[in-house]
Amino acid sequence: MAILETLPEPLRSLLAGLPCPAFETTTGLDGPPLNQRRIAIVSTAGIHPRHDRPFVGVSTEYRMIPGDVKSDQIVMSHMSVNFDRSGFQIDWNVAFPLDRLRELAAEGVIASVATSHYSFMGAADPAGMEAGAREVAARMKAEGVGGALLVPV
Amino acid sequence: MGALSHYLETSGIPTIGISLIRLHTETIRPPRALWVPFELGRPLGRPSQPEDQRRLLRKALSLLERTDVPILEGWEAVPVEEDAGDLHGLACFVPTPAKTLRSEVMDELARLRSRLESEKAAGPGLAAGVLGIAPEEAAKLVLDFIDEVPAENPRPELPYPHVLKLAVDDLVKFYNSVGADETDSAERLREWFWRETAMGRAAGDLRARMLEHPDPTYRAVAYLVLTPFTEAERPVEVSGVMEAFPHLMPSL
Repeated sequence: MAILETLPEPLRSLLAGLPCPAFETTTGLDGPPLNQRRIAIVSTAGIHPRHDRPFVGVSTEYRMIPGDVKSDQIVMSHMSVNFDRSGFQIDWNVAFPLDRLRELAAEGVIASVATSHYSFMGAADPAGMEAGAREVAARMKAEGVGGALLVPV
Repeated sequence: MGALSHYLETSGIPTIGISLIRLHTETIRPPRALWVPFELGRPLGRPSQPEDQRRLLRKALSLLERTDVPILEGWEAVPVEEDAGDLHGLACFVPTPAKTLRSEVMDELARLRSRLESEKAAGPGLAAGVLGIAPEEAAKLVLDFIDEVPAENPRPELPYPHVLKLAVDDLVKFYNSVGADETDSAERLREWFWRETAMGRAAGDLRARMLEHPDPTYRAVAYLVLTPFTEAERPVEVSGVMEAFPHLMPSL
C-alpha cells in the first residue's frame, strides 16, 4: 500500500520530507467532452524503448514512446529500486495503460490515443523537468492531444 | 508528478494525474488528481485485471472535463487476497561448502532458464532487460566485480557503476518473469529474490564490495539504488541518503 504511514523506513521519512515545489495558483483548462479528446500518457516510471538511452543518475530528461510500441519493446531504467517493478513486468498496463486506452478509444469513451507518449524519471528534481515538460506540451499540441494522463510509480 | 501537471496545463494541455502519495498531491495542488491506495509501482493496481484498470481509468479521465480545480478525489480499491505461490519450489538457496557462489548462481540461472523456456512461450523481450544481454552475462558482471576479475563494459557509453546497477535490475526482472508463474505479489517476489536465491545473495555481496570502492559514485549507487532499502544488509539512514545523493551523477 502506498499509504505513506505504512511505508517502511527510511522510505517513509524520505518521502514525507521531500521538498515539494510550491505553485501559487492552479490552472484548470476547459475543453471538449472526453469522447472528443485524444489522450496521451505521461509516465514518471523512467520507461523507454529498449534501443533508447537508459536514464542514468538523477536525470531530468524525458523519452518519447511511440504509440504503436509493443510491451516487450519497453524497458524501465528508473534509478530507484524502492517501488515495485514486478507488476509492470507482468502487465505493462499497471504503469503504462496503453492497451486500456486503446480499448477506451474503441468503446468511444475517448476519441483516440495519441501517436506519442512520454516518460520522465520521477526521482529527479521537478524544477529540472519544466523545460522538458513544456517541450512535451508543444509536441502534444502539434498532434492535437486534448488531455494528458499522468501516471506515477 | 504534480509539478508536471502544472507545467503541462499552463502550456495548454489539460491533465489528470494518478496520485500515489496523497501528501505530495495535497501540497503541490495539481489541477486534477485521483488518489489510489495501491503500492508504489502499481498505480493501476493488480496486474492482469483489465476490467479494474478500465474502471479506474474511466473515473480518472472523467475528471478531465472539470475545471473546478484543484480536484483531488479518492479511489476505492476492491480488496484482493494475494496468493504467495510456491517460490521455494523454483529456487531456495542453501550454500554448500563444496560449491562457490559463482557456481551456485550459474546452476540456479540454468534451472530457472529451462523452466522459463519450457513452460512459457517466451516472447523475445519478456525477460530481457535494459542492458540487452543474457541473464548469465549480467550475472557474470556481478560475480566478476565481487571476485575482482576484470570485465568488459557491455555498454561503454554508460558509467560502470550504473551498468552494475542495471545488471542487477535486469536479473531481478528475469527472476520476476519466472516467479510470476507462481505469484503476482510484489512483496513475495521481492523477498524471494533478495532473501532466498543465490543471485540475491550475490547482489548483496556486490553491494558490500561497491560500498568499499574509492570512487564515490560506486558507493552512492550501492548505497541508494542497488538494493531496496528493506533488503539492505547495512541499513540505509536518511542522513546517508542525503550525503550519497549528489554522487549518483558520475563525472562523465
